[in-house]
Amino acid sequence: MVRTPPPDGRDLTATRDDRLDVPELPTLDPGITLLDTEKRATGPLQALVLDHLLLAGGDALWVDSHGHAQSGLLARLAPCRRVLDRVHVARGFTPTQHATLVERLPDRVAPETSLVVLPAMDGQYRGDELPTEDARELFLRSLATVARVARERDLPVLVTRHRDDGFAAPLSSAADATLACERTEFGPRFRSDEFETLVYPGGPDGTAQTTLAYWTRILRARNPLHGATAETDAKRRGPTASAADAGGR
Amino acid sequence: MFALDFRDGGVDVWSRTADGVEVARDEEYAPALYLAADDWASIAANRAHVEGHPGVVSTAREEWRPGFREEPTDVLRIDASDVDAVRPLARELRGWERTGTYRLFDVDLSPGFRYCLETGTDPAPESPLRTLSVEVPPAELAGDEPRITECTVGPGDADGASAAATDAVAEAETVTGDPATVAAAVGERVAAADPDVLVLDTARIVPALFEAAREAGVDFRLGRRPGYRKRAGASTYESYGQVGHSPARYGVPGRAVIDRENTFFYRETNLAGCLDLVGRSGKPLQELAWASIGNVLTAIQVREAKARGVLVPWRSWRAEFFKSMRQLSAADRGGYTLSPRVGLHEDVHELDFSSLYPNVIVTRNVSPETVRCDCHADRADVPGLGYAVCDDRGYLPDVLGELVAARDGIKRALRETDDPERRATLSGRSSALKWILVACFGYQGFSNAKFGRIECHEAINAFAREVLLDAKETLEDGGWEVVHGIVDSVWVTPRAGAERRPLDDLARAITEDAGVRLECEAAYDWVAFVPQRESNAGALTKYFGKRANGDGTEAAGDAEGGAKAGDGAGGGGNAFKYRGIECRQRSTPEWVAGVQRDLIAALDEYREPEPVCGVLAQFLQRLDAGRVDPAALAVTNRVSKEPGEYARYTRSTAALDRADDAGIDVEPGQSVDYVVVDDEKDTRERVALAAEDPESYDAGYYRERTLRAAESVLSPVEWDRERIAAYLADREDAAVTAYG
Repeated sequence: MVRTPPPDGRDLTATRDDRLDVPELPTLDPGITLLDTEKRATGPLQALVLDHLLLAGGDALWVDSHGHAQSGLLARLAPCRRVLDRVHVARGFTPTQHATLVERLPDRVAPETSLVVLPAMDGQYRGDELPTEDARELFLRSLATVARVARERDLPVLVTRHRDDGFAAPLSSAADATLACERTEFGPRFRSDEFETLVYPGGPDGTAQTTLAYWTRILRARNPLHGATAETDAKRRGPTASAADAGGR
Repeated sequence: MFALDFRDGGVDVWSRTADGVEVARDEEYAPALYLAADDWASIAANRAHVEGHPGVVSTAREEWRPGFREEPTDVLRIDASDVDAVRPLARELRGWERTGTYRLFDVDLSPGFRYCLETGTDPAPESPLRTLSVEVPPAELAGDEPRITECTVGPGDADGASAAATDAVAEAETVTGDPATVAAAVGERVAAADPDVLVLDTARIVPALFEAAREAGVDFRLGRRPGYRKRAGASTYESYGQVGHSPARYGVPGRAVIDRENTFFYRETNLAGCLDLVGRSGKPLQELAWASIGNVLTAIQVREAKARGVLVPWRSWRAEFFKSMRQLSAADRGGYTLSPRVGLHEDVHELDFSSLYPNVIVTRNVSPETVRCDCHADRADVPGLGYAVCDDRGYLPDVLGELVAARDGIKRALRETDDPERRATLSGRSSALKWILVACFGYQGFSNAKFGRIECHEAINAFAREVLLDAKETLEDGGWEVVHGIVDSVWVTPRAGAERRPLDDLARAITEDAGVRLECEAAYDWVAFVPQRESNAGALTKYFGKRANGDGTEAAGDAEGGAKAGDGAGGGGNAFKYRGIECRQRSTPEWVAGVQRDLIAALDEYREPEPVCGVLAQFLQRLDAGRVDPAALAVTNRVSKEPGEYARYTRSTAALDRADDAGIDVEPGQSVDYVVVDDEKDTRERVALAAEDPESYDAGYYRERTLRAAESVLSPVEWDRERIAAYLADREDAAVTAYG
């Protein structure tokens, strides 16, 4: 399900020793991908979204929760400002608001939509605003809607969990793929069932990997891959543009 | 009308007339909630089911708008058997409430407000109310089953005497004895005074008195009829920011109860302020006194909504629209702030926009249904955000416009009268409106606000920013330098060598431009902006200064601010203004605050750090010599947790332990005053309660606090802690040499 853009990036050691200039990031395929991180996933999440938009073109619909859509961070991460116009965000601050936004998704998805993002998708339904059973049911309805959008529109949907527990279990069951992002001494590593990649050597200090500067650097370094779409940014890709089309250029 | 009792499925409506008190019984009243769906057919299919519910009296098909942005549609009006049936009924119907299908409306309205709203009853009393207060010393109410042995019954509106009320008794009277005797005596006095409003220190008095009387088998009343009513707070009360777990509320028949422990508006304003809002919000006095700002603002909006044929949503299903990250980025910038330029500036003028946010809402037509309207989708009216704002007049500007105008009128009247009673009335009303206006902006961004909308919040912010930035530009072009700007005020000083237009001229021009009045708020001989600790950047709200000659009383702030701890209180009269520094902080010991004010006076006199440090040294000498009265060193600490919940053994914990030893019950939210006697200890010997009259203190601890206060004064003139310490050390050396 996940491919790495540079074909020779399989051997991690080789990647570092050969000083490969273009760092790897996993590609998002149609279906629900659960991004699983040790902590709050703002850095890798935003990097994956931007990378996808720059590679695949199109727009992202982002239903936010718990302040993941930090526009300031995203603006600093983005290699070009224009890509910010292609991320459309609406925030749910209550379970009912979140459910309303998800309910609207099928109507909001347009031909140019190439990605749907729902950080902490379970988060709003955990509060005490609604009785637990009502909240759980609302969460499941939302999840079903999201799965339907992914399936019927053949769209990549990127989600994260607010917490990894029983309440969020339906989320991992519904996910077509789980992408773990963990910190290693060599840099963040993305791992799924059939794939593993080290993004980029994080330098001697492992802590740097989670910083904004790190992800900014990664995205800059991937610029050669983005070049094609970055240039056509202004023209806005046509409705028929597909991920494969843009990525292969 | 001034009070309502809901009992036996009907409502007793109490009114005061010139001749006395009247009560009318309303047996017919049936509170209404509403059910809406995408189409009438799905409601019709379930109508019989709803009608079969035991809590339902009848149903009707009516036309209402489910939201400000929606067209009128057929909905089901459901009349419940009584106010207490509304919630259980709603909870049962909630099973149906799903996004896009069934929605419930008019569910969570407080009973009195609902009654007035639905029956068109004006909750404002027709004649002045008789008020009475009942006070009990806090110690009497300790524990779960308090036994009251002392109680004072007195005039009810001592702090806000006004035409709206008369005291039911002339003088306070204290009764003591065993709980049954006290209850009987209180009952007699209340009956004799026969007040309409009972002002209680805490409503916990009510069950305690009734219980004492019951145990003794004494007939006892606080109301105009037997008994009392307890209403669990959390089920009926929604506060601003949070649907809260508020304490239980107690009511007695035929009187409005004001619980001093649970009232915002009675505490921050007075009875006249409360009654003003009773009229505007449609909430009866007892509910109004209980209500939070957001709750009152919501009530005002609910009345407007219903008047416009709009129902009140139960849950906030309404979510924001999608916007681009770039728009979100612009929206996230928040209010305008220009970091103050650290340092001491001569000849500073402060200019404030009058009620900036409400006025932006009114003049820019910002309202939940106007921002990002469908009809002008292609227009970019909001600066930086590109949102459209509809040309059709919004409801929020109408609501707030009325409040702004009313407050302006009250302030005008206030300027024209010297009569203390009238002033108290007007001040209370002005202050009550001020709180509503202050909160209206934040409330728009609050996710659970009934009619709030985050896009409104963003638009208001964006317009306000623009107003401030434009003003800054005009002032700079006019030859002034802006040294500080925050949200709605700018601080300027003459730009050296520039040709200047008078500030009044510029303010007039800016006012005309912005559509919001810019007023010259105050003039200062000098103002010092204090840097943040550990940084050179200016702290936004830490400054002090000296008012310019003849600019003392007038600039003392809002007319209604008089009752609050004012600017410069206690140090050089009104000449100095202090903000955010130690002497304004509640936790600062009185003596340290006094030293800080004296240092500021010294800075004013010498404008040099050295002599100020000299003054400081003298104070420290007195402190070290143990010559400061320990009573003046008491630290006031508000308790935030139960004693066992503190992670470390702090001074507060020590103080709480001592209080406990002394049998004083300190609840979270209350304060405890203590003097630090030995800061090295980690036992309860570390402090002494102020009440224990300690004879000594830990000079080292207070020296540290005094140095901190001194640093705030001297850091604007670039003397930091080290510099001060070095100066003091030199001086002490010199002293040793001199005496040696």
